[in-house]
Amino acid sequence: MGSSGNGAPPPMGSSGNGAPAPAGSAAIGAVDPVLFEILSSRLSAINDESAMTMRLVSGSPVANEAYDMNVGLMDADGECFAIGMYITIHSLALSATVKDIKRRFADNLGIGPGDVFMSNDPYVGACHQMDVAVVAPIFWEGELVGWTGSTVHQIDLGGPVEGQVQIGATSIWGEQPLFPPIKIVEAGRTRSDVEQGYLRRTRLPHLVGLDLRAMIAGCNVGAARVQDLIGRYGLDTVRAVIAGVSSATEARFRARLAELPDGTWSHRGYIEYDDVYPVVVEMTKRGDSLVFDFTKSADQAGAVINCTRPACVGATVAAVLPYLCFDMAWSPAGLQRAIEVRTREGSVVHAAWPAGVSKATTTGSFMATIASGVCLSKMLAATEDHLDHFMSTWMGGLYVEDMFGIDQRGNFFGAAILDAMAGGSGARARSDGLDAGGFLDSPSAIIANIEDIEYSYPLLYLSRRIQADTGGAGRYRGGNTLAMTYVIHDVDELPTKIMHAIGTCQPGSIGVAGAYPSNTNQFVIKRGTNVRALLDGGAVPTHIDEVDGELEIFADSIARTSQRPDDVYRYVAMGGGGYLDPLDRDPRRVQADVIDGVVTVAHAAEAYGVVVASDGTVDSEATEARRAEIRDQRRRSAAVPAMAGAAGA
Amino acid sequence: MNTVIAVDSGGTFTDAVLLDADGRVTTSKSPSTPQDFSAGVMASVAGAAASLGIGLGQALGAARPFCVGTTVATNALLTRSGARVGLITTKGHEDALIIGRTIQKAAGLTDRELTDLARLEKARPIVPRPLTRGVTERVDYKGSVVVGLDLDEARAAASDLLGMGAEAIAVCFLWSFLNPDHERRVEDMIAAEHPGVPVTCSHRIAPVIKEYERTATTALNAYLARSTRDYLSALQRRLRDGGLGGDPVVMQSTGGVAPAETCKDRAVALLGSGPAGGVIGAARLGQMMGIDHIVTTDVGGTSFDVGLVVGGEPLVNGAPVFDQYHTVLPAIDVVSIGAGGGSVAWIEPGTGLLKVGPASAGADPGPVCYGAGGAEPTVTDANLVLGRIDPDYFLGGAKALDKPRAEAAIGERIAGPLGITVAEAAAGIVDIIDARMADLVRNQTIGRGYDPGDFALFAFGGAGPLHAGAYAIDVGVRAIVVPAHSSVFSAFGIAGSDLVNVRQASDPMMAPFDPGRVSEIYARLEEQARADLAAAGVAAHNVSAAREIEMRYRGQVHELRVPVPAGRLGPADLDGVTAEFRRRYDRRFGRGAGFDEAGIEARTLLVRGAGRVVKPEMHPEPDQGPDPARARTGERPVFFRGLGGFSPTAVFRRERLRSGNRVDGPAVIEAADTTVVVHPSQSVRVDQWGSLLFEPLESPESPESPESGGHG
Repeated sequence: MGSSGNGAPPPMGSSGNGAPAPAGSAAIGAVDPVLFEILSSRLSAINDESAMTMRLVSGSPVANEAYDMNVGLMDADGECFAIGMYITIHSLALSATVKDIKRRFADNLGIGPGDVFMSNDPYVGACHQMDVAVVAPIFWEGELVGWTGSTVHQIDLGGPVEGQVQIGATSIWGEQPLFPPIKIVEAGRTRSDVEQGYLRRTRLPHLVGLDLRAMIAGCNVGAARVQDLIGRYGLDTVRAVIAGVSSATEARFRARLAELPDGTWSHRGYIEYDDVYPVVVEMTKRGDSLVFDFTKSADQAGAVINCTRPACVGATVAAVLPYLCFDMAWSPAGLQRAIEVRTREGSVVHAAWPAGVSKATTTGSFMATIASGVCLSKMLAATEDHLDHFMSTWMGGLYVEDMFGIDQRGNFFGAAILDAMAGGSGARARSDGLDAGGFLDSPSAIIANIEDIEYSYPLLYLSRRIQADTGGAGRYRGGNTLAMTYVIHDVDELPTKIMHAIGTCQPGSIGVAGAYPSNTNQFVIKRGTNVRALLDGGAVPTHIDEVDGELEIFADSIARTSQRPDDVYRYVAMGGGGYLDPLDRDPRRVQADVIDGVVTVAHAAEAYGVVVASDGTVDSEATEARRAEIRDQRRRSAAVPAMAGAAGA
Repeated sequence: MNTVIAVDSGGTFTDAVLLDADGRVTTSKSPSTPQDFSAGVMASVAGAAASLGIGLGQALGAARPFCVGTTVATNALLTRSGARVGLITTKGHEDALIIGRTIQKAAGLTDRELTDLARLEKARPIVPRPLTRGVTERVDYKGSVVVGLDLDEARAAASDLLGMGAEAIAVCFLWSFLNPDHERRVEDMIAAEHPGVPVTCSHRIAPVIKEYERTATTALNAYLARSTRDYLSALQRRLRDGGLGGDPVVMQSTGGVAPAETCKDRAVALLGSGPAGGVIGAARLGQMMGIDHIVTTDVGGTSFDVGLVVGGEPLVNGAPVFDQYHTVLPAIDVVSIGAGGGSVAWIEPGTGLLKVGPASAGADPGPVCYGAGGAEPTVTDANLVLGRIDPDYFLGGAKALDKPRAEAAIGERIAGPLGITVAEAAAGIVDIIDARMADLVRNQTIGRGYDPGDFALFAFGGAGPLHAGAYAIDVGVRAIVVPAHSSVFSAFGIAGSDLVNVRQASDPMMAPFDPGRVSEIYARLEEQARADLAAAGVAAHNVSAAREIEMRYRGQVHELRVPVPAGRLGPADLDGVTAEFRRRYDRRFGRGAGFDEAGIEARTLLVRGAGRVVKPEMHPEPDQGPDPARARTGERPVFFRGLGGFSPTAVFRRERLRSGNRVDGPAVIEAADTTVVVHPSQSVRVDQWGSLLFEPLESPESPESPESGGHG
């Protein structure tokens, strides 16, 4: 596969007990440390409340059943000092949107108490057009003191093609309409013209309308609570605490970096589209700073898969938070002071106007997060102290299905099926990844119940199960993911079905330190099958092999099709990567997996060299022989690799 | 007139409350006996009886009802000592419990814990994957059969599972809440072919939409049935032998009791019932005191639990989480964080900031001052250093505390690195934990759209009264109440509980709703609830049934509960329900937040059947005047920031205070098992029920007046 660029072996040393923390309170200036702790906790509690409000009001299963959303609190300059535990990349979008508003609209349009702005312009800050950013200034006695923000992924915002992927677009002109920051609420009053203009362009005005109210409600709650806090403790104190949160995080994060070894690590991930677009990152850690260099990434595509620079910067933060900030407040602004992100305009992770970016969060910026995460995992693997926080690659390619049509009650509907969020998590230093563990960008990832999906949409799931062998083999294996099969139900046709992913030709979840990668994302439809006859005859086919018909394999990463009553659809999401050589895995662990049905007998022999007999016992002799055989094969096939000469080391 | 006895059997202590025919309350506390909890129950009742000078037999003979709160189900789950369960489900959907909607890894965790992704785990399975069997059958969203049940396959599955050692079977098919026929046939088949094998079917225990949560509820019930049954049977036997006439009743997480015999088949309903007792007790005491909006706060060694009573009714959570499993039985909503006497204080490396928790020293080794090997300073150590706890009167003097050791630990680990005095460090630790508690109270009130200024805060549990004077004021509640019997308050609540039988059924529908369909479902649910209460011996005239419906705007996931009128419903009734939904929605999320264009839908209908238990009335104590001198035992230096440090502070003995007595802060009021801190400028009055009321409410430390908080 060779997807992994290998970093130079990190020099030892510089980790350990050396020169720790400076006298702490330096980070928080003049604020009393006890008061600081109290108020910084209070600020993150405010953020939680905003997120909860937004979730409760939102009408979108994307927000509520998949938590594709987030909230943030920002200082007066738009620096985001606190985010919610949802999709982490969104925080940067909020920050960039506020900075743009301050730069361009402060005079003409004006920023006043009770105003709320919204934007979906990726060249301003939104990750892609679907992630509408809603931000609201916080005023205190006429003075701008901070901002709150919220964002929810929208299922449809117009454009030629339903949903997010603008198939056939050659530039941003073929994608969803953009709106730079506009004022949706002025002095506390929603502007009907702006709201109606916004809802006019979507195919799903009810859903999008409810979500807009949810985002505004989330912002309002955050702003009101911050004002309460200022009323109680005074503006100077709250302002000092806000500044202190970022500088405390910066200090804490720099101390963390200082504990870690210096070195350069790199990774090359791929985005399949009309061609294969490498996302190449070289991560260099020196002392207490971190550089992500993406300049060797591929040139941009015309549309769809690129991401803009703000999304790429957000993508690196989305990787740094879970890998390095496991014991500190998640304050992006503080981290960013210690992180430099280098990109090249015109590349797939730094789109140049007017390149399109409609699918960015599952292509350009997603792979930027994965690639950064691989580098960080390798750095952690080179430590003693922090090895326990090593994680191999979590689900390295997210599959999404957008569907539109007439539902079983005769109403037009649009939906995003996000079951694939139940990817496999990466293997850990001393334990396996989690089966159906989720994905790296969102600790709170969740998938919908089948009963909720079937109630709302004209589908009948034949199966949704853990798919064996999808996690990368290793001494510690990656988590397995799901496979699911469905037919349409109570309608004559599902006319629009857009399946899209990366990692359809190569596994995005690589193995680390001699482990194997995960499976790939796979989607197929068997056409014109006997599924109705089987169901009528009293059988439930739960695997696509149990029905007869013509198998259509979608090898491309994006496909638009329709589904008829006799068609059976199946997809397999992506597992997590493994860690260390699977031939070193304790045969008893392999046996337990076989008994649980999460590793097959064939895979046990092939990948782990463990021979499990039909009665479930391990044949030790055969296992030893099989492992010797695999090692021998490896030796025979070993060759000095040709010098690629290209980027990535 | 009967005597009511209530026993709350927790992890460490078993508390008993005896309410005799004259309305007198007697309490007692005994160590719990985890090998056989029923032994501790008997000991605790014997203790209460002894204080009344009567024998155990006499006490039990007069007890009607005898109420029990138990952690036996919770313990069996936490220690994974339940039965070996086989799960029969719809073919193709065998992994729902393991997939756990992915969020299982995060269920019940705080944001702080979530940042540590490498430490997240899925729930330890209560059904091993090999003990799950999918059988051929399928019902759709209308309740129509798509594929009939293959009973032979189910038969083979059951035999197979039992052959693999399954001791109980859980059955959960997709959409069975709309059409339970397939589950019923499997249930009948197992009953016929494997008599005696306990079976839990999802349409019986939780006929509610959402297959993961329903499967988890069903499997948990099967998993917990044996230990619950064994415990309740042993308890029934002991009590009968001891002289109890009827069947004891058991506290459920819904906030009511049910006969022990019934609970044997509904073990999952006992999960999380512990904290429910306190909330019910607060609602009842609130009713006596004329308070109907209450925040309950229970501070123990490791956790801080917050519940709400709104308009006299405890708030209910429709999807409570138990050890990472989401369930669908409505439970009294109690939210918990890891903050208590055992919370550990530490200095964050890198920033040098003072942090408290979430780690806890627990009971073993416990705080440094226990002298049992604990080295990390805790909140209890800080309270001791500040003079708020008396080292010689902890647990009534049963456990001597080592104050110099606590001072040394705080000095070395906190004060030294921060460059402040030991007392300042200790005060900082307490301030931070108080603020964390205040944050939770704030999020549970303001965060749900309530103004804390409308609420009285009840503080109970071992350490609640120690901290409430600070955290309650910080939130801006209108009153603080430390109830009499605050350290056995859960048992007090259980004693006041009615028999409750909650029935629910999902039948998703869009507005305008069909009155016939809705009426039919309510009639069925009410009939079930009334039949169960009649079987428990409640006279028909003591039974009430309250209806609720869960509604939302179409597409939303979170529902609001709206009350529904009784009787046969007409279109106007249902229009009224819809209007009430809009009203509540606007109140919760702000005017104009609703979005009618999306349409309104209803999903789950509930009936809460309550059987009133006739209980002795408690009698108010006549006013004895304000002077508390009789209760004063002396004074000692206690640290108050507002007074610039340690100040001479009067100490009172709680049990000697009388109705009408008034204690001005700074003061400390001590009982054997709890300490109440009255801050300077605060004053406490003893009311006719023996509760301590803080008044007037002023901020203990800061000169600014407290914010009353905004509205959601």
